[in-house]
Amino acid sequence: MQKCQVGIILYNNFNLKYHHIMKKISYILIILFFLLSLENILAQEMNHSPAAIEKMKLDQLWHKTDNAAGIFFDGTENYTSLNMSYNSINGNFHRPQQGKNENIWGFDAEGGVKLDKMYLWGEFRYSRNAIKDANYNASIIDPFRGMPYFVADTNISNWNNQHYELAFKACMPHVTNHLSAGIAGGYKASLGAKQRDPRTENYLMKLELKPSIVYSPSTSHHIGLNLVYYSLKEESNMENINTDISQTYYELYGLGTAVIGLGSGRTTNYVGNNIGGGIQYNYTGNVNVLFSSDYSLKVEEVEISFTTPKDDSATKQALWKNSLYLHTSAENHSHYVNVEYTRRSIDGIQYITLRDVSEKYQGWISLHKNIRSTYEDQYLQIGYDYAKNDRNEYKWVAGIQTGIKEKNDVYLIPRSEKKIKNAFGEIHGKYNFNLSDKLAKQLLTSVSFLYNKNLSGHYLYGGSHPEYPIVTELEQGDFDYLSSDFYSLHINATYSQRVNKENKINLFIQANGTFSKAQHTYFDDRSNLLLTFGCNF
Amino acid sequence: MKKRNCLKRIIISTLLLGIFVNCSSFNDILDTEKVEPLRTEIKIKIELEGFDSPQGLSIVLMNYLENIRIEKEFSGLSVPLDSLIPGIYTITISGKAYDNQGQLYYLNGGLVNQPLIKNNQTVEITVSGLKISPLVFKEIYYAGSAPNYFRDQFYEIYNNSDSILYLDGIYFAALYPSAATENKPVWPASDENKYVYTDRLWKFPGTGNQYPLKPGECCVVSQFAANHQLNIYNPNSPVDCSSSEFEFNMNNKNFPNQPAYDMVHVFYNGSSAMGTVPQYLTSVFGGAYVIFKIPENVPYDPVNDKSLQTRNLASSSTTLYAKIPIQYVLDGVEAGHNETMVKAKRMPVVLDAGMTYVGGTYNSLGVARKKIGENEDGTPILQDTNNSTDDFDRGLRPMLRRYGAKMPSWNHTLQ
Repeated sequence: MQKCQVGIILYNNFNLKYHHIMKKISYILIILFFLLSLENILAQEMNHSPAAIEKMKLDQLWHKTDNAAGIFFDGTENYTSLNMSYNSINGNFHRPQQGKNENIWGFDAEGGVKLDKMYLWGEFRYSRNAIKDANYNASIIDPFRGMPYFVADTNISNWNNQHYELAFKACMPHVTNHLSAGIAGGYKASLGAKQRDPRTENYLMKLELKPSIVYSPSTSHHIGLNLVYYSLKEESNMENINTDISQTYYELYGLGTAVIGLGSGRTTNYVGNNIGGGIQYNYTGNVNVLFSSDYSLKVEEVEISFTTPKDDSATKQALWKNSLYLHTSAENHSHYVNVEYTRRSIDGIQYITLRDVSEKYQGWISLHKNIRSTYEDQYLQIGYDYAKNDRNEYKWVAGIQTGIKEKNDVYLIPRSEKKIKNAFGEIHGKYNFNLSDKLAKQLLTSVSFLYNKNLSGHYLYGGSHPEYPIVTELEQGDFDYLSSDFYSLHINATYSQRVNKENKINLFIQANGTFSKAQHTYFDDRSNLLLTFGCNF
Repeated sequence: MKKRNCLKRIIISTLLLGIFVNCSSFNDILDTEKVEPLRTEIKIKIELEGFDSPQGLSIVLMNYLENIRIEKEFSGLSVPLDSLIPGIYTITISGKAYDNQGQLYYLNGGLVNQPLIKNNQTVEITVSGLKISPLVFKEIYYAGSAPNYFRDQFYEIYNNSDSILYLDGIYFAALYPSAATENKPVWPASDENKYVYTDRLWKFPGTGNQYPLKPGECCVVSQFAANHQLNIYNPNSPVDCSSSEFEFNMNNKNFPNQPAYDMVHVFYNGSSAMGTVPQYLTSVFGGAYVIFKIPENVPYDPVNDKSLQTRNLASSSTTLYAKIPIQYVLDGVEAGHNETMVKAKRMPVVLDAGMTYVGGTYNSLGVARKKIGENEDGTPILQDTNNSTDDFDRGLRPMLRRYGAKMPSWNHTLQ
């Protein structure tokens, strides 16, 4: 099979095992980020309390799209936000491949700065996840990323994962009288390690580039166009530390179809390329309206072994996202409406391969491939928020959201199905207490309540080995979770104040608590406590 | 000027994206079609003289990866198959039949790892035969016991006939590669699939009639014929092999020679010397075992006859392997990691169309041939269809002389 030469050169040149090099690059970028932030510290004009940052993001419509050329129309505020966080998640209401407990340490930095005629925005995220007692995953960092082909086992194990994410947007407004240009990009690197045999060490990287333009025939009308390309690679190296005991594992092929294996697992190489584009239309006047539609195609190939590569499977993903944002502001209040529709279709492709045992040994020969399974997720959401404004902040916000989620997964022959349809409704409110004008002491509180109702669903397995735990526990357990009715209560409290009168650096400490209660025989609840400490300026 | 440069950069970026879009593998995946059931026809060609029709033969198609089994009887010279899922199949045609002279044969033929991926594909399978062997592997214990003890491996060979058979001079081997693997060796094309290959060859001692097996009697050949349950070995072991008739003595001082008779070492890497390996260990994942008997008038000396040696042509290694003529194999049993490893078979279908397994290593489990009846003296009649998937019970606690099989009178414990 002919291969993508450009891609191969890129991947061969990029050895994920030298991941620490990327760490150093990350550190350098963080330092640059701080240097850019100095400009913000020196040029502070506005109060950047947590409520102000939130309000600013609510008002930014182009920022919600992939079009960096349009962010100029959102305003060019200089700001920086830094925070460190600790997140603790517990409870048995979770998907089978999630950990029973999870502790996450995180560091986030985000900021925007206007430089000459350009506006730059950047973000860096780091998180360290200690996942405890995860099951049915022995070979992939994120088993929910739309890749059905990986290795699972039944040895409940801890995972230690680290994630680094860098993102930027650069906007060059008025390149010509009516044209703005921009580019957005991102780099993500993850490391994951399963802690029990059969164990794995994984490296993932994703490199993304999104050039864009906006054509503005008048001051009120803006038409945007952007392209999206990203390249993804994940490498999974399985092994047994105790080589005396061979482990049973399952190579997954979707909806419970699995091939049992015995030993230490396999080396798997995931290589993906995504190409897509988006169009936007924005009207600014009394009402700020933005419609965005994005379509992308991703192909991800799964190859086993580096020494004698074998085409195992592939996925073809079509992602269609449509969003409509509406924002209108009067003197002391704002209305926000958003409608989002997303459809993700994945075709699961399996190869038929044969090993060449002739004297002209050619390794594994791919003879045939077919789409053997399809996975479709649809998501429709409508939301409305009303905000009572107070300068560049809000005094209070009230809003509702409702939507439908639908999953339709099919293994074609022999037929298996996993179909789920859920509806949800959410109501939320926020209030920003001004505790003292001195040092702008504030307490921002919020509460939200979400109820998820399963409308329909079934999981039917028609393949071989229905007795495998992959069918009876993994897939059935996943179906039980996804089709479960539940309610969720979220409470947030954020205290913030300036460092001193002269310095407008806003320090904040935040506590978030979420409690989700399942209405299902097999599940109880899941709680999430997130503590954040940071500053905005 | 700056604005123009900026536009240029955007155009270049867009072109770069175009290059990626043009990737052939990207487009190749996008063009993939949904799976559709296939129609296939299997034709039979009987190679042996004296057989005119496929009457009584059955065909089995196994897709081991997807656990699909299709079984049909031959009524003519071909069998149509509808609604087949594209995949790699092992196709076996088998059945017992008498030739024109009244000799009972086990007709067997097939293809291992045959891709069936095109609609209206026709596959022709040649069927040959072996005389029904009265000497069979009855029980095999290869997996070892916890934590990682492997010296308790044994192989039990049984006289499944109604006449006396002699073990003298019968060869024993585990085929190469030692464990089932898709990374197969390459053997000389000039051998025309007439041989199987081993790295080490043994044979039973005796001059012709020293080690008779009466009907219903068996002999146990152990890696090390000791009571493995003793504290000095492994109390977790499920077996006491001290009553074994034979052992593979490799002159290891730590595991000294036992009272059982020693198997005769024949071949290792082109020589009759044993080499430096301290034990005869076959794979704890499961080996492919054969016993074979060379007729007296046929010369067979793989040490001195270089035409009976070969290298693995897929490797630069100079290790020499002995050739075993398939036509002289009395019985063959292939064992592997688990049910899906049949895709990695080492043994030709004519010797064993299937594979047996215990699903783990060091789990104290073995395999035993199924009992389908009893002789008048209570000794078992064992199933032998040349398909160890069907012929063997799997995952049993190993046991010497199961089903009341008898010990031969020359066993050392009876002397």
